[in-house]
Amino acid sequence: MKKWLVIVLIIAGIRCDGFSDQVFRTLFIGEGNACYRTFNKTHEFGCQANRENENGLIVRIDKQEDFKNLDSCWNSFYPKYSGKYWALLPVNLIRRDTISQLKSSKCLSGIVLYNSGESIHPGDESTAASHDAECPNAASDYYLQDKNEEYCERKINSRGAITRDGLMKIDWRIQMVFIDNSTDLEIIEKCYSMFNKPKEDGSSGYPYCGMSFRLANMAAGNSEICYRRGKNDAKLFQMNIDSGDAPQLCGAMHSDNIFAFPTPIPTSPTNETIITSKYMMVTARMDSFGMIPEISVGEVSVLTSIISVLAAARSMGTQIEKWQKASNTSNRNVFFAFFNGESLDYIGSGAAAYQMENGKFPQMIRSDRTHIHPIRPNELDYILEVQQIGVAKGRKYYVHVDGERYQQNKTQTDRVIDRIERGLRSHAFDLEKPSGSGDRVPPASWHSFAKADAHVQSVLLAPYGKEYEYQRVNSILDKNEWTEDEREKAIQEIEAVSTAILAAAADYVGVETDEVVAKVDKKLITTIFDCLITSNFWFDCDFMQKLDGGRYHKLFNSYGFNQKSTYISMESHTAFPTVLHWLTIFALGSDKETLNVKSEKSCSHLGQFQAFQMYTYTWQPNPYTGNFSCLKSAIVKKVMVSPAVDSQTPEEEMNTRYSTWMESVYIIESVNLYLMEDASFEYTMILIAVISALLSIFAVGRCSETTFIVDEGEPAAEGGEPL
Amino acid sequence: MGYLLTIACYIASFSPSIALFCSFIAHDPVRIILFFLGSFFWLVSLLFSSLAWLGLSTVLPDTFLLSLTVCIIAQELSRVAYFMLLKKAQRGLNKITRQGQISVAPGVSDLHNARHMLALVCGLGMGVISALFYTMNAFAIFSGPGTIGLPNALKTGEIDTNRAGKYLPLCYTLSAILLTLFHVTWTIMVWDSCHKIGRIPSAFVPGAAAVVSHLLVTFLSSLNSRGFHVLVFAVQFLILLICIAYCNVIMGGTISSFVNGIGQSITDAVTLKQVRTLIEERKLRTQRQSVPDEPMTERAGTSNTVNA
Repeated sequence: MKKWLVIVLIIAGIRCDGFSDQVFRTLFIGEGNACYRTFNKTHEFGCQANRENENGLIVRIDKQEDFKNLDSCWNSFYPKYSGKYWALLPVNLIRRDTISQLKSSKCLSGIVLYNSGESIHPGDESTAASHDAECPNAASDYYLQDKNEEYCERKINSRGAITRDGLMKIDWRIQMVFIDNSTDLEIIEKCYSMFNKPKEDGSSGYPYCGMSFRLANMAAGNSEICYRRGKNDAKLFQMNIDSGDAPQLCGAMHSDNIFAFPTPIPTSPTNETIITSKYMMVTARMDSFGMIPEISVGEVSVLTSIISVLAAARSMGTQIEKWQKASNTSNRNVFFAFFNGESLDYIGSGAAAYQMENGKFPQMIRSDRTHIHPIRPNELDYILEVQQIGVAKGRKYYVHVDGERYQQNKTQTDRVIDRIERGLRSHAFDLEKPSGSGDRVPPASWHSFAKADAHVQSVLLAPYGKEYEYQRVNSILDKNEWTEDEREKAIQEIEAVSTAILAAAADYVGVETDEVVAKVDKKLITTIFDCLITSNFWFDCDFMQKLDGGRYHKLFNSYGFNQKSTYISMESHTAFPTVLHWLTIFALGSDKETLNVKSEKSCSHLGQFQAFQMYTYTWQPNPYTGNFSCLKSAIVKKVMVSPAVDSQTPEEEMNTRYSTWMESVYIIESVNLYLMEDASFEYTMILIAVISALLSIFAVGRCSETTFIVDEGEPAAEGGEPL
Repeated sequence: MGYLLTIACYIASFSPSIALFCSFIAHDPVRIILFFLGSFFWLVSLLFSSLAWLGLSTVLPDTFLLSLTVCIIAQELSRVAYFMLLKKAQRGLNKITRQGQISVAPGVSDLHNARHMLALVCGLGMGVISALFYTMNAFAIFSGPGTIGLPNALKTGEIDTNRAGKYLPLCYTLSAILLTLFHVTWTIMVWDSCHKIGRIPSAFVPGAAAVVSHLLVTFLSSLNSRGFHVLVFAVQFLILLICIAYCNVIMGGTISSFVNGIGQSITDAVTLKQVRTLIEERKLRTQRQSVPDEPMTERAGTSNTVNA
């Protein structure tokens, strides 16, 4: 019995792969490295594999002139080939003048995008490559929904936008895959050079190097269809009997948002008294996107602004007693909000505004526990947002307000703006103040709260006036080569903006301004700048490695988890919210009250078994020393789903006041390279098959049973036992 | 490459097998069972070969030739084993197939003097399964967009034209045809040895010829990777002809009768004898139809009338 078992195990252990290892050179493509389907309420965008766009011959488009070959379908180079092509294309060649050719080409299966290695500097104006629209978030604009403006009236991103509606709002017929791994790219290039590169006389011949790739989406149509089909009652017959779950076809884009309260106000134990405070919300967005959504670092679109807010938060955190005292006196508070999904019609801020209206922000309240007191929209005085820090032309910044609301509360707002100006001037930057009642707020989180409350004021601090100066907002190319001067200037700008935030916040709360202004930590700004922007990955620098302390694990095979990406995505498969959460805890957390806590377990117990749920306790290392301690902070890391596509808020279903962006669930396959042979031999083989069949019939037709049944005179054989 | 090519390859490769199967096997349930039993025995031999290969490769660095030899011996032993099994079963089979009585399985052919027919049936089963195993992975690849060769070419920096190229489907097809027919001849030879062993001193000759030709053909095919495709196929085809001629001798024919038969076949093919026969048969049928069936009766009737 044991012997049989051994034999069975040996046989079971044998693996057969057929001939595929002799035919295909397979390159693994992780989740997020390819274009897939996304939806809004009315349309579907992105890419989908079909029989027409899976396979193709590899060609290169290295320069502008190569796009001419798209029109002729490379006929002069490959006259005997009549199929489609996969074009190897550097990302920086996706421009206004080339995008229409890519869209209209009938002979492309897809494009293989890669970083050309050509360095782009932050001030580079020759590369207009914003993958966002001319009017970002136009459909969710407060002025459009309030009927004060036509759709896309203010083309604020017209200098950088490649297309009017942005590259994420294109329904491509082709597929796209991004190759980030240099080894994989070399293999594709080698395959092209060996077989497809035309000879000196321009000729080429079989065999050619071909490529196949397939990304199949589960959903189609638009968000409305997708949302409807995704409901469990619509998928009754697909339900898993064991788990009770139905297979997911698509999902709302959602991820973690971070809200930090340096001076949190607790709910009253009996919930009898409603405390009314006033708030200034200091915010920066934490998401970006690109043509392939997840390939987006968002250096200027996201990171520089976040660093300036973090620096201000750290400064506040180091002298929190003063802020607490001033807040208690003035009943005014400052809190920090990092919203996710803002580049996709304000997912984070839209959900936050909705929760504020319903008394659920920042936390759901339980009557038996103490939480952070809910904030309502009418308690928000100011939303101080910073955008695109580090790329100012000269040393000038702009403050953007809503003209009408500004006029309503001019004195107080002027005071805030004045403090911002002082903060900037202390670092030799100028501020251009609002011009009058006709001012409009550019795309910013304020739009979500403006719809919820008629008085909330916007103070948007940015280095642009009527139009974005930076031409790669939300783009794969928002990834720069920083010279020492550019880096130094960007750090100065971050420092200046951080100081301005502190100055405005301090004045709002009532802290003595002069004390605060001098205390922005430039060294910290430089360190975080190098870690988040210059380094190849979030945890490549010493500071971040110490902050990590072995807590980060690359759990998923997704782009966002293994590369620098600030895309929101459908799942929490990006590392950035975790990175920012830890940095915020570092900035505002304190271990003064938990010095006796010496283990992770006892630290987590502090947060779990108390009725006082206002604070969180995190066992986190100090990024300078690497020593763990239990940090107490009032920081809420919260997944925000747009109410329009959230099954928990059916009353807001597909309400266009909120973002309706959804993503399809998809199956991604690997890239396969292979040799293509001349298909004309197929016809020869058919002829051979016919001849073989005729010959066989002829030859066998001449034989009969008697040909093989021979009487050899053997009695047993004659008796019926032939052997 | 595409599905059309794969279908063409399968048709070309298995046409001789299908023709033999339809002519001699399809009408007889017992032969169908024996055909598939042949396939099973070959699969068992393949299993033992692969286990031996696995074992040898853990001990020796290069086991190609040794494994190949072991594989061929395993196949020939499986043929012997099949013969022995069938010999034990033939009395029972005879009861089923005996004519002139109430047969347990109607429609089966009897086994009188049918040892070469059984060898054909079982050999064809072995040949078809071996050709199928040899070709199916390759033919599956031909249905896709690519062909064999790129991973190796990327490693070495140049394409090995002997292992890749547009004529690869043709090579596989010819090999499959040869392999199927060889298995038929080898089974006839080996079974002849098994049948005659202990009866005549030269009984081992057909079996030895089968093993030697099997080894020769297999090692010749390994020369394909060096680019001698045409030569290899020519020699293999010649060996097949010799094997068929030898089988003809085993079945009571002579070399001259074999040569005459081939010559006659070619003449008939060139002169379209089968077509002519068909036309003549049709003419005869038409003539028969033009003669009414009833006249004899009518004449009888008429004569009766006249008589009356």
